[in-house]
Amino acid sequence: MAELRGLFDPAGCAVMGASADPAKAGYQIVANMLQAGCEQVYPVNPRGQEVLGLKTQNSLSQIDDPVQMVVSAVPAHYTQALIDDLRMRQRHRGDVRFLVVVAAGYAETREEDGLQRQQALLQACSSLDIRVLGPNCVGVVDNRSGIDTTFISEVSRQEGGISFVSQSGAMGAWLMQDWASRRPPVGLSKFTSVGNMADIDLVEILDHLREDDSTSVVGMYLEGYPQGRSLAESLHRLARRKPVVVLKVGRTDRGARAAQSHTGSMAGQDRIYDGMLKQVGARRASSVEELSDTLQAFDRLQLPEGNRVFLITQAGGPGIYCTDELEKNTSLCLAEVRERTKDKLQRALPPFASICNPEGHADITAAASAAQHARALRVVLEDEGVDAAVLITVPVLFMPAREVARELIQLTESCTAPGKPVLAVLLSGKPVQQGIRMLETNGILTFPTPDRAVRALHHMAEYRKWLRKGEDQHAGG
Amino acid sequence: MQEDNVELEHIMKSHLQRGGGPLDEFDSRRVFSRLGIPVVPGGRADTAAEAEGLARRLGFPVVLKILGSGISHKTDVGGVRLNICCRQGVRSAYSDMMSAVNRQLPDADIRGVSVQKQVVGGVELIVGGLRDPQFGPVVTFGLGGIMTESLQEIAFRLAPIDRSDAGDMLRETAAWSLIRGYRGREPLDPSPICDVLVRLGDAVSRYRWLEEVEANPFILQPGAKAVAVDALVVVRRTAAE
Repeated sequence: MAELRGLFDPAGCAVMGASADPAKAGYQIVANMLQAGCEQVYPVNPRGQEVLGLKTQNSLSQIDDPVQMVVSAVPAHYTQALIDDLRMRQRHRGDVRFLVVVAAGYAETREEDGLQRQQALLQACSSLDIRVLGPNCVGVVDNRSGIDTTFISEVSRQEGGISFVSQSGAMGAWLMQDWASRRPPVGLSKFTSVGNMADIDLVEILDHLREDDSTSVVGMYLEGYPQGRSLAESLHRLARRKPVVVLKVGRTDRGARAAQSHTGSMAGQDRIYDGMLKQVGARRASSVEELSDTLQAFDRLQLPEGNRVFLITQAGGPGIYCTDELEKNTSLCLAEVRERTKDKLQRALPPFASICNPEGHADITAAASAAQHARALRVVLEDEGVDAAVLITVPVLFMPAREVARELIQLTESCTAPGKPVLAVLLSGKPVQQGIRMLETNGILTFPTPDRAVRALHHMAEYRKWLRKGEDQHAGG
Repeated sequence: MQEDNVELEHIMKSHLQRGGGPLDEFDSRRVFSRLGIPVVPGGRADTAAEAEGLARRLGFPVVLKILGSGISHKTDVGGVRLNICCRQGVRSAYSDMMSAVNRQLPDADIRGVSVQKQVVGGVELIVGGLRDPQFGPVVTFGLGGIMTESLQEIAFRLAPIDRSDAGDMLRETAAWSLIRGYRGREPLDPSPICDVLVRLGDAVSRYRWLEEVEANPFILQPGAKAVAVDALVVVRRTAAE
């Protein structure tokens, strides 16, 4: 496996086509590099203006410090100039290892000019011992090393375990901006936009993320990959080590055609992808929300040991809504708890609470105090028949969301029950904003709706089942 | 098993020498048997009298199907007759079929008829294997008969597969609710389908000229009985050859 570490942690990064104009990608890239905390960033521009207080150089060769990575924002028709500059740098210093090509106008156009340009660039880089990411990509983000070669206007700088790889720069930007806008922002390890995959491709990135210690879960936006088998094998190797969540588009015939004309990669039969993903243990999300929720669940919650869920709800309707979703659309089931647990719940909850009717479901009623929420949760988590709990609450006037949040935080801090995931849902809007923020800043994951919580939990339980199947097969020879 | 492999290679190679493509049903059935996939009892007849004799030995009711190359939709050209219950029925079906197919497909190369025992009851499924340009050998499973195309609900897995993969395929399609029993019917034992899916996966992985194998319908019956009623095998020379 070729070494990709330098792609995420380069010693020195030059930005070709750096610009002082905030409307240009060449400006935003430098801004993002600085914001990410990169100290060795070197703007290059033949016109030599200053960019964000940094002195620009006319060419790569004029940079005295080491340059391991070059990010090129220059338009595709300057490809030859880019090659010449790289060649000069390599002749004198020979330190460039990675080139990120942002510009479009290469093979994805499927026109003679574009194809030739990509070919010329690749040949030159190969002879100069430089690996290429793109063209037609937004590059990489790594929050550990502090690098961001993208021109995405906002990226989460919160370090976390999620790494995301995308065949579309815009889908990447969608998630990056969404995650950055959360309070607190969603924790990110690495983001990679692979663009045309002229050289470095999806599989190589996936293989790298498998070995990457700061990545706990991998997300992928996938349109299609010509070597289906090698993708399947790479995903399988990855899933044995850490969870993978895939948003694969092109479910419909027209969607598949759109995907094909977008990246120029063959979309293939969606249903084969679907079966393959199941087989290799990757979880397929059906929407961006589901992808995002599931990635966070994997990153921040304990993986459940099984699929038995206990649902604690402070409100009837949302609890029923959640039960339907759980029964109909997931492989989860409502847990059957011991009589002793039921007795304990009875004692801990208001007199009108409806306990285990049906099994695995407790309607603690609007009379339940914040402390009773937490007590019920503790009792349920201590039962051996429960693998995970969903907690739904619709805070009322006399019980503000803040209080529920405070109790839950205390419970989490003091909880001695073995690590079982708790999926908290505080409904809804402005009245619960503060409570949600308190929970999130204290490391407790919340979900905006009961069905989204249940979908994320379903993926976790299925992944656990898949892992176990592999272990059993291994143990059985 | 070794002999089965030799014969299998012989059937496929001799077909490849003639240019490949779909085998007729008789040869397809032979391939199925050698792969260990149960097929409905039957044989080939070149005359009405032979067909009648075969039908008597198999036991009524029987099915007659036209055999030959260049006939892709047998039903559409009058090349399939179901539910034939007596010897006279076999003779008249034979002659009707010959004239109907000759009239509609004068250029078809007819090579007799296939006489099969008619399977009564059970759940119609589809099982198959194919070679995908991106993923290579693949196994398929779904609801059979006309439901296959209308529901577009086929489960795929990359071959080879194990029994647990096969079980997952069964459970993810609408066929599962039929296998599990409906309207008071006893649940069916799915193990014969799992066996067949595993074998199909092994076959498409192993024989690289096997372009497509499909049994539709593949009928699952009570008592863990299962048979392929219609068999399709397509062979193609690989680029390397």
